[in-house]
Amino acid sequence: MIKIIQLLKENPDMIQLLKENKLSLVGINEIEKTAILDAFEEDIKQKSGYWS
Amino acid sequence: MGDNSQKIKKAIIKIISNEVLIKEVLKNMIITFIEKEQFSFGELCVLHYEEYCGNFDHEIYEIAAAIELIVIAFDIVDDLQDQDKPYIWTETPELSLNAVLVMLTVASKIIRNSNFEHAQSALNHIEEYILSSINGQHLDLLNQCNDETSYLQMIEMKSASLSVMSCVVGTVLATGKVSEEIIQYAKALGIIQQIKNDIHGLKDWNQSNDLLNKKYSLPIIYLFSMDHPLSFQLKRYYQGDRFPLNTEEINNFVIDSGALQYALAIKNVYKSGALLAIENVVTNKEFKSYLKKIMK
Repeated sequence: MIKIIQLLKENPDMIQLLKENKLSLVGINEIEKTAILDAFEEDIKQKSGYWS
Repeated sequence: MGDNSQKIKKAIIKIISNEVLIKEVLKNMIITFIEKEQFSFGELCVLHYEEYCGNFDHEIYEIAAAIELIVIAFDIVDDLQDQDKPYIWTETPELSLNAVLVMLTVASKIIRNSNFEHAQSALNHIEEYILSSINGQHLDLLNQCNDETSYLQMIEMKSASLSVMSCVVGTVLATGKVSEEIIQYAKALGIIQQIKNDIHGLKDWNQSNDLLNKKYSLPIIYLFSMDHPLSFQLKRYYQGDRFPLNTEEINNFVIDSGALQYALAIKNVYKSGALLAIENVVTNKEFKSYLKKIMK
């Protein structure tokens, strides 16, 4: 999971491709994929809540 | 649902006040300690009992009070061991520890003396999860869980054991048994809350900050895995090198690195499994909605 998040942070374009199912992450199942995508969404929404 | 908290609080005050073997000064101290608590663990116990019992027995509030006394006692011990937060019980640690011993003894007495058919089974489960939580606490104090697998195992023992205990006791008292799905979502609940605490544990640069205290958590494990100058600096800090930390720079590193997304993604994996288990096993709409809300 760590390596995947690092990869997505370094290549943010991949997040959109992942959302559109145009990209497949080897070793990551559907639940983990959704969890990761939600985490990127959640972080944006809650950043002010966590870090204000 | 909030009504349960008040009933649990009243039950604790009544139990402590009526216990003839405790001195007034100790009673007052314990009652002061519980004053600002939310009683969410006791509430989980009551709600699980309510969901599965045929006839609601109000004695469950005394059991929930016992659960809360155990959880608050563990919370006090944790704060005294960490020495990182200025709480009411950290003012006089030696007296607080005495209060903890009373709280655990009284909790055991309440359950042993209860009239529930499955009280002994509930007590067996409580002992199992208490010991598991103590094992987790010990691992946490050793501060050696510095990879994802060992860290998640540690918080499953330390934190999730207490949420599982609360749900299991309510269910066992109602039916004499408990399903794997309930254990699964109860475990996830504890882990989710701990991950949220981990994220907050990096927010403020005060005496509670996990990085300053050289503690491990999921976001910190992520930071340490990075090939970045600040990651190496943090490793040197954890190894005991003395130098000033640029907290603003590290704060930005935490935010920009992906450490938060990593912790949130792990949290979401647990949440996903828990929601599925809740859907499969919980029938009451209000209860289901409550559980889903606290999983967020």
